[in-house]
This record gives sequence, structure tokens and C-alpha cells, in this order.
Amino acid sequence: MSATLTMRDVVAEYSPGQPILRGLTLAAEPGHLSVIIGPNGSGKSTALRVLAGLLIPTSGTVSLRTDSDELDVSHVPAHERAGRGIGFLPQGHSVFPAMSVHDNLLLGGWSVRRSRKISDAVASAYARYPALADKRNAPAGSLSGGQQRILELARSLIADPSILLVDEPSAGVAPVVATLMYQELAQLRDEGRTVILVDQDVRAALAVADTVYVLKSGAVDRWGPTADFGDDLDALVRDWLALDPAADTPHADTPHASIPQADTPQANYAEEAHS
Amino acid sequence: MTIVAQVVATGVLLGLIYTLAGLGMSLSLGVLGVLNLTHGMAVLGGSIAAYELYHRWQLSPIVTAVVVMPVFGIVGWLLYKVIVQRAQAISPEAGLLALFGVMVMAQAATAQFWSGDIRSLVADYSNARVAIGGVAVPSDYVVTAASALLLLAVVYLGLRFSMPGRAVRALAQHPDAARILGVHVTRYSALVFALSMSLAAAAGSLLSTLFPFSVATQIIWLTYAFIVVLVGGTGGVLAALAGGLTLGIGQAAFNQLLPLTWVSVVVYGLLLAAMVARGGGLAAGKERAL
Repeated sequence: MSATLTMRDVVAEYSPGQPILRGLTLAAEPGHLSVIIGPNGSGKSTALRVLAGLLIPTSGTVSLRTDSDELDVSHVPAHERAGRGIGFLPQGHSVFPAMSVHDNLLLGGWSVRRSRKISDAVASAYARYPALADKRNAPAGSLSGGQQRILELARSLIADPSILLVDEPSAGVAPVVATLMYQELAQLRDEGRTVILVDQDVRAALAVADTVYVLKSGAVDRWGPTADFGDDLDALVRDWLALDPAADTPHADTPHASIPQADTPQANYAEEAHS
Repeated sequence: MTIVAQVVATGVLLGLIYTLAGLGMSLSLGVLGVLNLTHGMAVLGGSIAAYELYHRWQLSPIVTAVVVMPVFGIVGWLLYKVIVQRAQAISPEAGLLALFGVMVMAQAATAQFWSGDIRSLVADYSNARVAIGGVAVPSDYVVTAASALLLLAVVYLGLRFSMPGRAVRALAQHPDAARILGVHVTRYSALVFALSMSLAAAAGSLLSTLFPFSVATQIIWLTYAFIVVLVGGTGGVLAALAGGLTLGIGQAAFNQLLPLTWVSVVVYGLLLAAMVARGGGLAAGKERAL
């Protein structure tokens, strides 16, 4: 059930010679909600795409450690990562609009392949999100934006992933749905899952996060426990918007400036953070 | 009144056959975004197989339709993996050009080995008439349409209610979302292309008893498939059925109203009208909403 997902010195690009990620290193532990924040173009969503297997890194490694073993999944394609317990909610709508809510949920169990288990998981999804049960036969595209987001979350949970990657859970949805999404992510974290979140809504994300990674130009600029970022939040956002004259000044002298190293187990940090 | 009933009955039977002939195109365009220019050759291939197997071993075209499906499925799978997938990776235009090249090559090879003569096939169930609701229709139309309807029903139920069918529909609507749920998009794309070629070949076998065929008629079936897709869209079996029935009933009506030589002109006019009405030409058929 528990799994750790780690990126080490990952370089990734969409066009040759134009890397978006430039040596990104981070680690996400079971029972932790890690949030990746940063200005536009810093590589947040690209990092999630690499973790999901939709973009293969040009160098560096992505590794998946479970209770039984540790695997280098850098070159494992996205469809196989689903079978290894990695779920992904991409940015924007990803429901299958012409298919019913029920069919969308059934497809969430594609990597499970056991029809009884899928049926039970879909029944659990209806119990957890009654709004979906009421519209089980409706085309997913006819749902409101918020309902579609909930359907995407419910669908990603059918396969019972140990790791969940979430890109902009609150974008374009009503505040009440956004609140529900963050509550659900916190709940999933409390269930022992590894949750990695990318979010533009920094305050909402930090309210549920355990660990924060601040990206800048495709690499980690700062990272640390959420509690250490509270007072710096406004300064961070000013920095991203280049409102601060010292925007380009590295944070080498800040208490949490050290980037997690490949040989630094995140578990050590977690123990420190919770001691 | 009898003439109207005759036109409707004949048109519906023709429409079912045209639906099957166009369904493969609907799948390749709707799911993969590939305008398969070899579709007409696959239909012709099915007709040739039916002709040869009937004359060598008296095998019914209906049985041949079942036999050619896996054969053309393998041909389609290889064509997709070796040529289409690589060309599409460069650009859709490259894919179109590659398929045009394959079509021209296959047409030339067929003319070389099978000649360009026009052939026709008279099966055991031809040359009789069946009464449906007081209207007499040719028995081979009924048998062929019933076989087409059975195949259409199997494809419809498979797409609608099986997990692989749901995966195909998901692939049509949101390939990346299908991928992150675990669907092997590359494998399923090849399978969809293989299925589209299988259906085209099966249609070719079934309709070999209805219409004379030669190497040149592959263009007619390619055009009819375009009409089915453009009129009905790429929304799956039901959309293809709408396109096929429109074409079938329209053609049956024109056969009554116009001299035979004008029917083709009107049918191709229907293609032109559909392209203009939908806007965007053939690309408009690519709705990716199976």
C-alpha cells in the first residue's frame, strides 16, 4: 500500500535543447502531502507529467519504493505506472465527456482487471460521492465543472493508488468544490497514501500540505516543512511576480535553502520535521 | 404507396450494408484521427476473397466475411505499426500521404495480379425475392443486410458494454486520460485500425453478391465511406447507421426518380453537400467523440 516516489536530478524537455526541468530532485513519502509551488513556467506541471510517465526524462531518475522493493521507473510509460499504483489528476478536464459517469468510473479500474473488485470500488465511490450516484447514467460532459473534478478524483481512486498526483485541483471550480477537494486530499494523505500536489492557490495548498517544494526555472529553489513557509508566503509570491528587487537573488542564506540531495533520504527529513 | 414502401425497404437494406462499409472509416477517423485511404482497397479485398473462395470451394460470402476479418485485421495491424504510426508521428499530412502511397501501390498490385476486369458473384441465395411487409425485395439484399446488422450489433454491444470497448471510446475522447488510467494507447490504436480494416473487408465480402466489382470500384467504396462518416459523423455505430441509412434511402429514392447514370452524380453531390454543410471538409468528420 505505502510507496515513496523520488526524482533525482531530473532533466526533462518537450523540445530538444530546451529543458523545462533542470536537475529537479524531490521525494514524496507515504502519509505525506507534498505540494509543489512556483511561478508560471517553473516546471510544476511538467514535474507531475514526468512522475506520471507522460514525459520521459532525458536524464536523472524517477524511482518508486514500495514495501517490497525499489524500482527505477524513469522509462516506464504512463499506462504501466497506473498498474504500479500511481494515480494522476491532470490539469483541466479529463473526463470522457460522451461516456456516462458510470463508464468513466469503471474505466478507473482498467489497471485492476478484476471485475468484482472494480464493482466494489465503484459502489464505494457512489457512497463517498452521492452526487455522482444521482447522475450515474448522465454523460460526464453534462456535469458541472466541479462535479467533473469530483468524478476525476473518484475515478482515480477506483484502482486504489498508493500515490496520487494532483495538478491544480481547485482551478475553475466553485469554492465549495475546491474546499471539498482539499479535504479529500487531506483524507487520502491520512489514509497513508502519498499525495503530490501542484497548485497556483498557494494558501489553500499550504493549508493541507506537509512539505513544500518551491520551484524556480525547473529546479527546487527552496523546500521544507509547511510551517516554515507561513511568514514568507507574501515575499514568495512577490518574488514570482518579480515585484521584489531581490527577485533573482538566490535564497542561499535562508534557513530552508538546501535542496534535497539524491543521497539524502527524505525519511530523515520527515523524522526531523515531526520530532 | 407501394413504390414508397419499396424505396424505403430497399433503402434501409442498402443503408445497413453501407453502414458496415463505412463503420471502419468512422472508427479510424473518430478514434485515431486517421483518414484511411486504403479503406476502399480493404473493401475490394473482401470482395475478391469472396469471389475466389466461392469459385474455388463454393464458400459462401457470409462465411468468407468471417474468414477475412482476422486476415485483414493482421494486415491492418501491420500497416498501422509499420507505416501509419510512424508517419502520423511526423504529422497528420504525412500519414495521409503514406496511406495514399499504400493505396496506389495496392491498387496497382491488384490490377497486376487479379486484372482490372469487372467481376460479379452470384451466390446460392441470389436470384430470389423475399416479401417484407407486402414489398418484394431481392433475397441477397436481405441476407447481406441481415449479416451486416448482426455484425453492427456485435460491434455496438462490444463498444458499449465491454471494458476494451470502453477503452476504445475513451481513446477517442481523451487519449491522455485513457493513458493515465492504464490503457495501452499505442496497442489499442493498432487494434482499432486492425478492426477498421476487418470491418471493411467483411463488408466487401458481404456486398460482393450485390454489386459488380473491379479494381476501380475501390474508389467508389472509399467515397461511400466518406459519405457515411460525413453525414453521420464519427460518433460510433449509431452515427454510422444514420449516415448509412441516409445514403441508402437517398440512393434508393434517386434510383426511382432519376436515370441510372445520374444517380452517381447525385450521390457524389451528396458528398460535396455534406462537406460544405459540415464545414472544414473531410476533417470535419473527425469529432473524436465515439
